[in-house]
Amino acid sequence: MASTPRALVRRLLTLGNPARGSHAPDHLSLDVIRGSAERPGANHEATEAHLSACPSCADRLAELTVFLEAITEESTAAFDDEISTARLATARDRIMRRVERATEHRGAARILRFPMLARPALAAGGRVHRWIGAAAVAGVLTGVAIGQFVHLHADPEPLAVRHDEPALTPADPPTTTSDEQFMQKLELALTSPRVSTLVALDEMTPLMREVSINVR
Amino acid sequence: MGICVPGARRALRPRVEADTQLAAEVKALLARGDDAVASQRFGEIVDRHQRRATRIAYHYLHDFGEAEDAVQDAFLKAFVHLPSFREELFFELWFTRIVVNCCLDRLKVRNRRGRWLVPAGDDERAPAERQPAEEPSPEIALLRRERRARLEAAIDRLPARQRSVVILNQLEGHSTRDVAGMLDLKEATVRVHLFRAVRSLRRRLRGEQWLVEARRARVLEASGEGRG
Repeated sequence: MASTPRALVRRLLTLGNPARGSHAPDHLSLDVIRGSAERPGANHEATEAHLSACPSCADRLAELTVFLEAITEESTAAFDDEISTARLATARDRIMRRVERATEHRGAARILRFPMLARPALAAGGRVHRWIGAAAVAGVLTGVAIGQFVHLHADPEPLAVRHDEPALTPADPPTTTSDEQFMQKLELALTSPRVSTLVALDEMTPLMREVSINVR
Repeated sequence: MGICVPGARRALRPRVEADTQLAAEVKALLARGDDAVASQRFGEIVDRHQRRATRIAYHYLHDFGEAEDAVQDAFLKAFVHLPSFREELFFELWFTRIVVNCCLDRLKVRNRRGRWLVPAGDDERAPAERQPAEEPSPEIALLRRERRARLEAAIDRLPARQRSVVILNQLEGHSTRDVAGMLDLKEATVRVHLFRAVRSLRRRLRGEQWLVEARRARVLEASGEGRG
């Protein structure tokens, strides 16, 4: 590594060309280690020439070579210790089983396309359903409105008749009416709707008809 | 999945070409519908690539069981996607890329899982699985395990691309051109990654006793050769 700016500049100027006076940089040494077939050219030849002439660079190259060989050897040894031929054979059988299974399902396991009609049909149907719903709601509302209108303007006959008749009140003074009139009033009273809250009172009160019969 | 290998045809290697031809045959068989024969022929491809693929997966995952699973997945993917394999490319590069992707996927899953799980001990293998005959003594075995753990940790700490380049180029011996094809990078980029990775590894492993011993052994060897 260059320690001063001048050294750095010199290194940059001569980078890749050790023939111009500098030591061979590591990346070129690395190329030499990796084999000349990978990177033929003038630079490579110059680096090799420099490495054979410069003991310092040759030493660094040797160190780099030993380092790379050592880590490669160590990594490969770790794998070789871990793996055995029997385990590889078992793994191979497993791979082939999976491949055969993939072959068996190759024809059968095609992904079926979802029916294309379903979606548009669903969309159109939704629109139709919406109209049906709206019509039903409108119908109900119209029916309720008409019902209300008819109910409000209805003129029930019995009520009208009853209003026309003079109401019997206890405050009325006893009048002398004929039997015929009395019976009519009585009939009218019997046919009039019974108010539930007055039923008990009605039960306790003696009927005029009974009274009149007893008197006779 | 397209692989750009500039000028790769100039450096044809017989083994790689034979693999590619075999893959093309399997592809043709699949196209014809001869699935049984195709799977049988694919077995030959498995025989040729299984050990190498498992080793690559082991470099990434450091666990044989998981490496085995990753390689299984890779072979299955290769078989299923073989109809889309282009014959003008090398099968080995195509397949290695699948293996690397399977390993990276597993590493991602492991990292996600690792946030929640407490890591297990160093050697979780069952005693029956260990091979005492190959281990001279517990001390040496322990030292070796520690040494490997430090080396693996140093490689693992490299950025993803540098790690891939070191594994494929340095540990597996593929050329930078092939690695460029496998990782879909330019060859110059591969070389830069390799240089930076080696520099980082040397810095991290500086002072390791086994490296010092290896260097000493080399010097002694060289001096012996010089005398002889």
